[in-house]
Amino acid sequence: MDAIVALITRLGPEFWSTALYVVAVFAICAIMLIGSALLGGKSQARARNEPFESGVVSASPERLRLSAKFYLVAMFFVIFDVEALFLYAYAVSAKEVGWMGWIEVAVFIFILTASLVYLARIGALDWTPHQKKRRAARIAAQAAGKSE
Amino acid sequence: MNHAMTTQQLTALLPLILATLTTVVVMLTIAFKRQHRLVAAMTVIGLNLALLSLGPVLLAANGEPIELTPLLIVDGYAIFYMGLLLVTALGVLTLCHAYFEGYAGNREELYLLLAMATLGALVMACSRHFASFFIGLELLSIPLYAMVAYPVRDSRALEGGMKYLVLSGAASAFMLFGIALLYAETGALGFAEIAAKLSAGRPGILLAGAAMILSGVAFKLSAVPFHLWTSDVYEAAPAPVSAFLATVSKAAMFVVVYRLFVNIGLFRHPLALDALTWVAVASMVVGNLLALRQDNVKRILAYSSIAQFGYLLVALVASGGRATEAAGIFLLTYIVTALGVFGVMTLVSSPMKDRDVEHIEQLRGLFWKRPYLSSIMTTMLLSLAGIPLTAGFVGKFYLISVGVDTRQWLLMGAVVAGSAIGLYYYLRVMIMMFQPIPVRERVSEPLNWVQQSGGAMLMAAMALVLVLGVYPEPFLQLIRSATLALR
Repeated sequence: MDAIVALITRLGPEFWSTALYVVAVFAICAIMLIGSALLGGKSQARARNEPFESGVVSASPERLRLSAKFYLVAMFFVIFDVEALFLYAYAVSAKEVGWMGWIEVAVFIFILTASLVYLARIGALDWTPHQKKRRAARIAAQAAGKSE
Repeated sequence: MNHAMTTQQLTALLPLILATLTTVVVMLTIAFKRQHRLVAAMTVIGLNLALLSLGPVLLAANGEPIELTPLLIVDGYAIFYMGLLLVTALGVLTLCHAYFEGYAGNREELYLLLAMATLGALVMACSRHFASFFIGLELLSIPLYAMVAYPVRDSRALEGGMKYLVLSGAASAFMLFGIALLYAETGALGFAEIAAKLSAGRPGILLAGAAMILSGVAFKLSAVPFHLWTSDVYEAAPAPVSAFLATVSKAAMFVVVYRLFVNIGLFRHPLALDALTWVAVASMVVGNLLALRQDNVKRILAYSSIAQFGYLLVALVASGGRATEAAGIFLLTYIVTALGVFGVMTLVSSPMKDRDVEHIEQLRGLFWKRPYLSSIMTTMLLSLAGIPLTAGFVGKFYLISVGVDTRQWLLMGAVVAGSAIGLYYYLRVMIMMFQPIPVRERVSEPLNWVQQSGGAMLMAAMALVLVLGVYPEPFLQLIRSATLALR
């Protein structure tokens, strides 16, 4: 008995209030789930089991296909955005790091610009799909061939 | 804080700067003129300049280590291994050029990825701080994911790239967590600073951190029990990329881990040594046993590389005395040999077709069609098996002498047993190449001229293997200049 009292006092009020809280969380969940399962009525219908909110079907069709371009652009955004964050770190310490820091940041920005040039040149920023472009080019070439 | 940099320090940074410049220049070249030969040539020139710049670095260092910020150090050890890694990367480049000539998609980005991965490897060779270690590691790994999956229309390569990405990501996460635990206990990230504060930390947390770092490292070195990805990825990747994985990627990891090991003085901690011993023994035994029943040559080579790094771990366990030398000579012989073996596998599959030549039956009678390539392959396999007069023998000899000196009998037993088992599957590949085939099929296949640079590289590798096997003294002296002082 003494041992139990000693344990309770040793762990202190913070521990026991947190413990009570955790138990209460589980108890409320259990009461809501079990209580509604026991007391609530049941009815079956085609769309009864689908989740809804304010009468609107909240989920879109599961095979929604987005163009791969969206992911590409999202990726570029994340990359360039994160890289730009480093400039903030430079901005707050521009005076302390002096010319050495300036050169480093200049190199950094140059590399960023170079990669932007690269992306633009390989057509990663073009929104029109390649095939469409290629088809247009082919049609143009054929037209040119006929006219000769 | 002093931000100024002396000329000496700038000179020491030259290899890294030139390698970085190479990636940027190659990227811009691709943007404006997409041409396979031009881009390959630019990359070769850039990496060669980086290699040549090691000369001024050596002069500037003048035998003393140059400290570049708390992150990097350029000493004899770093210079030697930067040179080795650059030469290896250049060897892989010649193979890539021969191989990707047959690839229908964009061929040029591969060189960009390769240059970036090489830069990562160089950073690892100089790093003396966990931050630069991790940056180098990621810079090496992330281009590798893309290189493994480079033929994007090939579902096998994609699968291999995916496997490597997920597993390598998990390994990196483990390693980061381990580093964080070490940092939590010691408050330092530099190797030497951690060593100084190691005794103050709680041993349990330090141990957990070290174990997590070890598992990340063992993944990259594909040591058992973290080897499961190796055979799948090596098989799925294009042959020259497998060559890069087996040589540059692993060697860079080993180089930085050896520095970490020596700087932190882990050889004084019996538990770490025990763990490494068991990893090494398991790698040797499991790697060799798994290779026995394989019919796919790329998989055989993957398992063989697991076993070879098991041998190399002996040098890590037996650190002290001549261990650095033994590790250096074994790494050198392994890299030359692995480059040769994967090089032959690349050239027989070049220019790239739907599937690489990889089944052992496809090598049947190769000698009657391509005598040079099969002779090189034979030499390389003998070297992997550790037969005298080849480089592999010298490497293994040094390892065993170091192991015997430090009385690592368990490891020595595993080395002997592993070598004996290994002989079987190396000979199996060799025998297959000399099987008789009908006379009318005995036509020597024409060697395309684009493959000639790869062929010349292989000839040089074979010559090096033989020279190393017969007269290793000059190389030993080179490696002796690159030893790390034990703390």
